[in-house]
Amino acid sequence: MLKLVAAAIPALALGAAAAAAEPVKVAYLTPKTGSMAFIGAMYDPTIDFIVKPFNAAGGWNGNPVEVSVYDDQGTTQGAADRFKQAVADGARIIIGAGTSPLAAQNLADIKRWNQRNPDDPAILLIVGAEGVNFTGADCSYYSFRFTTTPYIRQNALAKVMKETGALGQKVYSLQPDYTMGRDMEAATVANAKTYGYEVVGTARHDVFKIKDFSSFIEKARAGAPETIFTANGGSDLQLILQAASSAGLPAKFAGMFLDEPGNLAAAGPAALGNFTAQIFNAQAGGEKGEAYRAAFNAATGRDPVAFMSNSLITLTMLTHAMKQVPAAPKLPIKALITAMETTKTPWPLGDLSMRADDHQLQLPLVVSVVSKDAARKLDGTDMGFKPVKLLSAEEASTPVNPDCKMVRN
Amino acid sequence: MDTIVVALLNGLIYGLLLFMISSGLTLIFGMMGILNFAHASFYMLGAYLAFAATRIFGFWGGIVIGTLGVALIGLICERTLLRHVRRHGHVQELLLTFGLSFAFEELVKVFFGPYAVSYPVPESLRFAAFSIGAVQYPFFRVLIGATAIAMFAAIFCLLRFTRIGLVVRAAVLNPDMVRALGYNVSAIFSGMFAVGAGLAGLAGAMGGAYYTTNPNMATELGVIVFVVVVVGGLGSLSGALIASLIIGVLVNAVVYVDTTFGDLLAKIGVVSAETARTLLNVPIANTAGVLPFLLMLLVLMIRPQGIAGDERV
Repeated sequence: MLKLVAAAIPALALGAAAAAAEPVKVAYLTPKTGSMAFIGAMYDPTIDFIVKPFNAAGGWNGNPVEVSVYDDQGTTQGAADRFKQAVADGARIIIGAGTSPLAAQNLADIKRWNQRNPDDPAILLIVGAEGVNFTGADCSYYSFRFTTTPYIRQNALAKVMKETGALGQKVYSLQPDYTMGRDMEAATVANAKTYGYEVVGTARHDVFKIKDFSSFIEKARAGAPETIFTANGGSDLQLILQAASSAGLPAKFAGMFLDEPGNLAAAGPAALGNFTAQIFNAQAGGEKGEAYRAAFNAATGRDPVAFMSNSLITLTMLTHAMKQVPAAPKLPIKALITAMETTKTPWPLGDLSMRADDHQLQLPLVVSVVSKDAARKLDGTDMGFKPVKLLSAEEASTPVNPDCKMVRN
Repeated sequence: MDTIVVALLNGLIYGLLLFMISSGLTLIFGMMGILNFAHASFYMLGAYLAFAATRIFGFWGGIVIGTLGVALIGLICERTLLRHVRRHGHVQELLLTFGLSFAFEELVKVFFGPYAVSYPVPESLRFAAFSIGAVQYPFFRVLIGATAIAMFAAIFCLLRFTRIGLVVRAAVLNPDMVRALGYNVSAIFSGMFAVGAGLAGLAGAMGGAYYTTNPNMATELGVIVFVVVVVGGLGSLSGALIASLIIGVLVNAVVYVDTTFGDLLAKIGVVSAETARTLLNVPIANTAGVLPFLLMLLVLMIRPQGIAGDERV
């Protein structure tokens, strides 16, 4: 069992009241070992950063929040096992911080638990999984999504790239072959008319199994695309950029995970000129954004990038909503859900809110380009993300998915 | 036409990289009977050692240190660990090397972090070797291919035409007799294991620069090198070369196939057009990742000893 108690101890100032206080237990389910350990590694620095000051200020009516990290090893079996363990440990707030298949497992477990224990429900906060289904056909009163969908990101990318003339007439879609990649492909095709481009080809590939992408690159070249949309991340994205650059493919890539740690370093100059739709970019947030980045860097020794920002958003919104829930012997989950749906949370790039209809986060998005002129360089390279445009939450939002039939109870 | 040439060339060179990695594995298995599950980890270690050494000794220094360093690690593993479990049989060897692969992965994460590192092909080697139509064919790819071919020739000649090769082959067939003739068989075995590991290290040092260097690179290739060895025939060096090339070309060529499984099966009348459009609407191009395994299945069904394997195995 790997269990890292990340934040607990209530502030001494609370004295006698704190001694009697029951901690609000939160379970963070994420891969810490195995091939997806790089995802779990992103979350560690974010937890203390949010939870420590919240507890120091009194927590939830004097009760501290206690976040424990559980290692699901990146497998659905691991996710199911850790869920059981977390619930047995007393956690009723579960943060699902893996890929779409892991989040699907978390969601199934939550639904089953709530059916069997209607008086003691649990909620799922999905940090990173972007599969459309989580706020579509599988949307649930007890789950919230704290990131975007491929539709939101593709829309933002296409909109801003069109405005700045970077999009071109011909686009291509190169996707990992699972839920998110399929969604990204569908979004790319669906937006063709709106943004006046032609989809000259689509291709999907096995995730983390292809070492040599050169044939995919040559196939894309045949359509002469100016922009290639991709939902790839991790080593797949690095390999694609490498292959494209060494084969001299002139197209630029537009995606969402280029700011994961290590990607710029691994891709090298191949990353330059590519676009990405970011959750957070300090430069785009002006003084507020810079102050936030500096505070995070001072506390953790690194800048917030990629899913770290999703985790910061999740924990900020969770603690913010908790403040609205009045004191009780035990944190009432339904009151927390209502608070989550109704409160606006301030964030350096603009307000955050949770849409009650489908529990999809409404958040500002930054479309950036990899450039040597960026204010902040990443990964020890001379490159960083230069914001092209900051879209407000309203501008970035896409309509409620008609597949979502939420039962509110 | 250009596309076909480029696809073929891409496939051949990827195949040659696979051969570079799996030749060491097949050598170790063919000669010593050890199925080394940590072999792909040696590939990863080669990349990381080269990456670390490049900062001090430059790119070529990194390649040399990556190769020799992994050979040394292989030697240490053989002398301190594998040697002692050998008498308990193959399962113990397998479990030990399987454990080693986890240990290496976690060690790499401890020293270099869970994310990818910046180990690029040096600027001086980033140029086009030649061009085919609109495609500028990168020099480094050609270099990987050439290295693999040189490696094959060197191992082949060493084993076939030199005195060292003679002794090694004899030591494999009848270790007691060779020992009685005054050769140090134990040292010969350690040496072979080190050479096998070093070959994987060289592949890692080259491949890590061209592809990427991250803690998952062993996992990504771990299975496919076994597929190469099984398809080629356990222990057969030329079999491994043929299998690598077939897999490389197939995986690259299938991406260009613009039809679905449904269409294909419907054309030969196995399924209805309705099923083809709905249930089996899977583009064949999407299967590049599973293709090597299908090939392995096919080979195991038709010729269980592999393409060039010994029928007695």
